[in-house]
Amino acid sequence: MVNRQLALRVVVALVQPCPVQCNSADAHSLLQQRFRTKTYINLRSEEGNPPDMATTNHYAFDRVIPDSRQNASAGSGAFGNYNLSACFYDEMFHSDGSLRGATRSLGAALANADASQLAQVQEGVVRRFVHEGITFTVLREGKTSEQIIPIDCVPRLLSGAEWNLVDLGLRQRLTALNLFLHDIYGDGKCLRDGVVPYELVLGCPQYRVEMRGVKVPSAVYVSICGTDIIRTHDGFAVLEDNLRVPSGVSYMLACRGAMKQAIPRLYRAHTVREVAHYPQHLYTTLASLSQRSDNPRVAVLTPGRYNAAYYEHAFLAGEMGAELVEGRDLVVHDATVFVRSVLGLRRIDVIYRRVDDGFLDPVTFRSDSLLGVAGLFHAYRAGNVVIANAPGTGVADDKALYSYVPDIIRYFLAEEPILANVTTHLCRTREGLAYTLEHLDQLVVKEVGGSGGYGMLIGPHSTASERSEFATRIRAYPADYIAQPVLDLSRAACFIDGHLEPRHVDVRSFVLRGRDVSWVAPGGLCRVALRKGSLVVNSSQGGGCKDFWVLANSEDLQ
Amino acid sequence: MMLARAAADFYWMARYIERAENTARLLENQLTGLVDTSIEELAVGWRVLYRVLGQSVSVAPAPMGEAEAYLMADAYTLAATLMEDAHNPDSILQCWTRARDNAMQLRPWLPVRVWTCMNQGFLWLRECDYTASWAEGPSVLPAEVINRLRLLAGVIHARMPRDNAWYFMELGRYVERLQRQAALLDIWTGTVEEVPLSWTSLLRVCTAYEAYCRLYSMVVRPDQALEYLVRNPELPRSLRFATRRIQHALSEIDPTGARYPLAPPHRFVLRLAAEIESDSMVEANPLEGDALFSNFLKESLALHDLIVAEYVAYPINKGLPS
Amino acid sequence: MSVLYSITHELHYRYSGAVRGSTTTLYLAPARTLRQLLHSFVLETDPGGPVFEFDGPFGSRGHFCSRPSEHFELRIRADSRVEVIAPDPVPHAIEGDSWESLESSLVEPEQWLMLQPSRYARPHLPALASFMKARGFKKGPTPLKSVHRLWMMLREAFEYAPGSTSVDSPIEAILSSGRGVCQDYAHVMISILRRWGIPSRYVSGYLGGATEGSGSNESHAWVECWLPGLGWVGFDSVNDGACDERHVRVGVGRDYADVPPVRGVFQGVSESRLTTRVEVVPGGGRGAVP
Repeated sequence: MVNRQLALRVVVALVQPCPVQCNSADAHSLLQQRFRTKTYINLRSEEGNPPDMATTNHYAFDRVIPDSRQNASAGSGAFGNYNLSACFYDEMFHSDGSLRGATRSLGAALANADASQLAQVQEGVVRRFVHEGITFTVLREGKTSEQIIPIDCVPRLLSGAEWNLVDLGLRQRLTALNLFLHDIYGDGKCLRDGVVPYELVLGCPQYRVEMRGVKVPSAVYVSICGTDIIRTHDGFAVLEDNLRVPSGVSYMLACRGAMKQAIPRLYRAHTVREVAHYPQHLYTTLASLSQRSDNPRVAVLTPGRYNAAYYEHAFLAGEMGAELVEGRDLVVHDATVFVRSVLGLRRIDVIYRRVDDGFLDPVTFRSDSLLGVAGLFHAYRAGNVVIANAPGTGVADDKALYSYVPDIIRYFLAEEPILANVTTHLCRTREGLAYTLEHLDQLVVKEVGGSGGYGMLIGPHSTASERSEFATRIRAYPADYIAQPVLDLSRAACFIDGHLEPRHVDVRSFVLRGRDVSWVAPGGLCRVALRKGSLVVNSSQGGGCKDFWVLANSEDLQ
Repeated sequence: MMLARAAADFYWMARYIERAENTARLLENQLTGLVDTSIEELAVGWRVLYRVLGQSVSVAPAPMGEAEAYLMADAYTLAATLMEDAHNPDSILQCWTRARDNAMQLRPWLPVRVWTCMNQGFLWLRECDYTASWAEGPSVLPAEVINRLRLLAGVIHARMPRDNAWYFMELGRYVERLQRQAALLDIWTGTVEEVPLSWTSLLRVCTAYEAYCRLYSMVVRPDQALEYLVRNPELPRSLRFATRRIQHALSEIDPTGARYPLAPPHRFVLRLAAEIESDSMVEANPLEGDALFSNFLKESLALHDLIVAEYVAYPINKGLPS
Repeated sequence: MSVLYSITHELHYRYSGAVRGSTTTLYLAPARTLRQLLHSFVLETDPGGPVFEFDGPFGSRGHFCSRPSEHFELRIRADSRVEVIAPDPVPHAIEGDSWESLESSLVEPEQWLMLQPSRYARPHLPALASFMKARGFKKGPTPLKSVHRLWMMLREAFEYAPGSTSVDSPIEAILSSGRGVCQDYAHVMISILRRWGIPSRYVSGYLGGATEGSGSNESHAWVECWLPGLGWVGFDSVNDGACDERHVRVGVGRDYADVPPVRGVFQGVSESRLTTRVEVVPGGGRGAVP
């Protein structure tokens, strides 16, 4: 856990980065090393092997270097400008500048590459994104435009053993949150027992009274969960849960696809756990919740192509063989949901909704909704269709409720949480408010309802007037704010302006939960704050993404 | 199962591709003629071109005597309007943009290669420098557009499975073609211009000239050309060819609708086919301003409405499973 | 004492053009409670279509119907016969009526839920605070006394003016104009009671009379609040304060939005006009409970 002293130290670090002294490598000896290491151990080496992947790959840095321990460290080769900082956990190097076990091979290959080779890989990856139209929609000056998500060509690596713990922690968390949702829309035992203050749940705008007493298939409220995880010197911690319509999974798959093509030999040499099956797992998860038949008809409900994540909706529907539908494609009749096909109406059994629950049904929720389907909730209540995630799950990913998740885990599972939370001060409590106002210049203050990096104050980067303005807002509506210390997010190597430089990263993990099935994508979408020193990784705020390789075991290469 | 909205998107995507190609061919023909065609013929050519597209020429004709001086400048503007004018809904760029918009909606149904081909073509057209390409030669750009569209057509042909999506594209392509061809024939048979319209260039625009020569003779006779463009079952741009493809697509999409009692679109296209078979169609007198083809054009527009009403915008109770 | 009522509630939608289909949620069925016997309930729609009954969030009984065919107008008619038994009159003082005992009696989510802000009942609205300050609305010595005083003060503060507000007017409207209907009175009362920490909820229903024509010819709404020792007690600030055998209850919710009599959408490009007719006729006469 991040304590107060640590938070203070981080502030100093942000203002004055403290590089560790590294030896600049001798270019000549590096060149020699490269000649020396020209014997490849990979099956797909250039001599005497089937000329399939090896010959089609023209990127020089995609090669596996055998005894890599000798020839790479922070400050050597392409890492010449790489500033290690003791304040931040580095994903590639130990604090002494030597490569971590899992990153030995990749680190060596990178160190031995020159900028033009890296640039070539980077360009190839970006070009692939552009041509495939892997875009998100941004609204600027009243106009929408498509942009590709910035992608970085250097993967982040993690050993299998470390990931296994995260995997367990994620499963535990989602199990507890589903039990919690079942309870608050049912008996309310945890409210009676005072585990969570009742006003936090019942007064939350995301609490849907319509869901009270509704029988949810297998009591799985959240089938698709996107939890953001950060890493610090203290280990992994959960930053927030996304239990409504988590997005980003298509970028994870696209990153992986692009990297497999860009550096096939390195990819193959690392036994990376596969994430490409996500759509199949998603389909299995959704289908398992349907009561009706063995081959249920699944539909992805999208707000339409102007939604920022439309590409993802289309992608997932395509990969799952599901129908991609908008509200206007669906009709409810006889409390049953139908889709308009060219030859009449066809029944839908499961809806993977990517529409906020307030917009799902204009005769139940917001009546001004044009995205929804009139009567959809009635069909759901009647048990004739599955909606995933269930309406009303947003109450459990509220930023204020977040701080009670460890207690929720202890209460429902009688286990200690495996993944820690980030220290959170609730301004709705007297102590939290006092602490926050006193340490405003050191804290990150977030609006409870806000998301996407909007409506927040980053204390150390703020001006006195911004702080006093925020303090007024906090005093007026304390319940709307929470405060967290500035997080010392770990850093991973990124290719920036011709150099490898460390940048702050986090990861959005994806967990699936159906009836008797559960799957955690090994890895997830690694998000990068591409601006130097920035800690904001949201793509709407100048963040990018990179591939995240979780290795099959803790050993990187045999 | 095919989503009604997706079917409509496939239909429209194919229509826009066809429309872009049609415009590009007309434009290429006209711009190639800049070298050796008389000014009067060129002026008529522009007027006809715009009329085929259902528009009127937006620039005033050059004053007599100075026409030669304005020739290239006018051609530049007139071609630009059809090529890349964002305010002209029928410009090639707009057609391509809309086809891509439809394709974007269709991402989950569209083979990746079809999308990338469509998208790359769009990016190329959007970025291409019209002025620079004009300097290279006025017909260079439309020719390149045609090449790109043929590449797209090839990718579509090679990659698309012959399922309902394909047949809705067929519908879109041939409904659009039927309308455009009817409009062309309407002008050739029903207009009196100061310069008689050349049936040879009509055949050329329809990429039918060589085939015509092989079948008939080098000397183009209006009655034979008309017969050829209306009734020939092998010519891809003949009315009969388009009608047959529409009939085929409809029977693939909706086999029960093709049996008695016929579904409204099936019935209607059968009527169009009968009209093509009737002799009055090929006996239309070019000099008498016959309204036959403009009627046919109106009917082909009605066919579109029937298709939409039957497969896309039907009322709920009509669509409930029995 | 009990009274039998025959209630007819008719809704008539007229569309300016053809509508391809419509979907409606209805809360029109009188509740079945210990003090309310529902003898019959018949719901008819024209054009017809399947009707589903469902249990709403707070035990209110709702109906859902959809009509798939093209239509130009839609009629919905609900006929019910319901017998209402007069509740015990609300005392002006009881033992153990204190703010402390109120707080300690709140142990159920259903009570807590009725303390939270909702769409139309917004206890923390600045406009409400200044209204209360200007009118001198203050918490009384005990919860029961506060409620009794509040409904009387509200009756004086506002003028009952049919047509002055619409079904979706926020409470700001009545606070600033001083004119409203039963629904607005209820929303203001709920907001103030929740501000004071007294759980309170919205009840929709009908108001009957002893003789024909003496009841209201529209839907009615009032407030129920939780008081220690009494449980949920009804107050009607438009009428005489306490609820009696004239109050026929239909639905319960946090506010109007949870139990609107009718909510619907239609497919098609059209304007719609809704006319309603409500008739509450005392049918069985006054008499002892059998």
